[in-house]
Amino acid sequence: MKLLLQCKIVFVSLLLVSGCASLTETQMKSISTFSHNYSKLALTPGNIIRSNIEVQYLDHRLTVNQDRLPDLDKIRNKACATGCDSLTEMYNELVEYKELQDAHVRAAQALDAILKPIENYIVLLGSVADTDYNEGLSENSQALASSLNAALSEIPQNITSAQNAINAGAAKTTAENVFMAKDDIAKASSYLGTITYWLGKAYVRQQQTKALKIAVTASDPAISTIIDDLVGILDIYTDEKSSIRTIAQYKKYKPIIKQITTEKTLKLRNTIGSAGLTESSYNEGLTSETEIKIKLAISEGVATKKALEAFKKAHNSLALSLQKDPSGENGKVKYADFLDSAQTMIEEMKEVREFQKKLEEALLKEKDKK
Amino acid sequence: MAGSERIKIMKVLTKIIDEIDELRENEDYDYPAKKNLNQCRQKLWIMHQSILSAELDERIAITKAKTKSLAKIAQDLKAADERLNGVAEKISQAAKAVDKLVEMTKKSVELAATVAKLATTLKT
Repeated sequence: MKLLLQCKIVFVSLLLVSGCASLTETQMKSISTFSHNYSKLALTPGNIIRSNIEVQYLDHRLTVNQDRLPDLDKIRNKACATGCDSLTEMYNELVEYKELQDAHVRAAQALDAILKPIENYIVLLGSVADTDYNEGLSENSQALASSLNAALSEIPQNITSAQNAINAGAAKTTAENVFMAKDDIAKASSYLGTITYWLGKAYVRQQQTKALKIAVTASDPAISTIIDDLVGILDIYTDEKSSIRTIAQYKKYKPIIKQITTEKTLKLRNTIGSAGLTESSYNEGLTSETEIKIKLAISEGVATKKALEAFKKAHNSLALSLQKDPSGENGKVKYADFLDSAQTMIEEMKEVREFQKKLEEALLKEKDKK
Repeated sequence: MAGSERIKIMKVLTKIIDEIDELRENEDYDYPAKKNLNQCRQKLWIMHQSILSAELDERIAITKAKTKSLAKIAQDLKAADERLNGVAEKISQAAKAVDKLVEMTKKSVELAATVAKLATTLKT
């Protein structure tokens, strides 16, 4: 009785939900692919800030070598010991630059980190949209059908004696009842596996749709404003018309003065050289390598902006298609928009990846040179 | 300081820095004059970078706060994911239950067959 009740509860609940509107398998797969494509490429919007630091510091006499971070206090004390005020002043400036540099590096890391919660959410979205649940369901129902068939195949052998009884005209009613029971079980079993699979699948699909609808609808406004904020930050660095002196206006950077080549500077050079500091592009201005890196960083920033905007659009279309009946006409139109935007996102992301690769190569080349 | 004010100040500073850059290129200025210009430029640049840093910090903090709602949604999705896995498990259990049911029915049929056989024997 307990077993019968258990089966009954499961199948009745499956029947109740099977009629609700759900996403098709193709729609589920495309959401899963969307998630997979987004999470495959880690966007790094902070790169543009990092590159900006490099450009900004070209304007100045010294840049702290990030690979060999010096003990600035020691250097300052050494400078003070020489009694050279201007050197002390320069060291103080250096400390100030270093603090600013660090603040911008932290900002770059924080900007990259903002995308992490979005990534976590998208990965989970893909997990819920994944068709693996149904594959598991298929395995279960197949197991059920095969166990039913195995059990039923044994029944006729066991009732051969009952058949003999019927042939003998004896205990006809009892034997006929046995056959009737066998026939009923046979009929039920032939459909049971299929019913379990289809109802189970419909139930799971309906639950998946429900979970996705709730999550995508609730997260869409947040995703939209987060992306707008990120694009706004990237605009500071990539928009030449912003008139805020950043990497976007790198062409305005001119070689720094050549006049400070006095004895003091030579002394300073000797001191900083021994302390692990490097002179930046002193007297050089923009080198061709730096210019290449800047161009790549700006291109990466622009491509990242486009990829983020395409992602925002795709997510918004997905939310709208889920708010409508996904299988209805309006839902289908919005779903088609989602597919288009998701495709654009993939293309933009490929571009981002290309710039990232080139930038990495440029950095490696520079490292090898050093 | 509001974000828009920071941007305005940065724009003004940028303009001044650009003007200084042009003055620095003037051959008529002697070394002390250029040195002063440079010092002035350095100070302005530090101010510009500090304001930019503050602007970034504020914008990032605001955006970061917005991601908190996503964390809650992600939690709900995780729960839904676990629930769906639970559904598959329940169906598996149902399959096992039906399996047992079939086994019991099979035994009932066997019993009925034995009864029928017994009835035949008794009649003959």
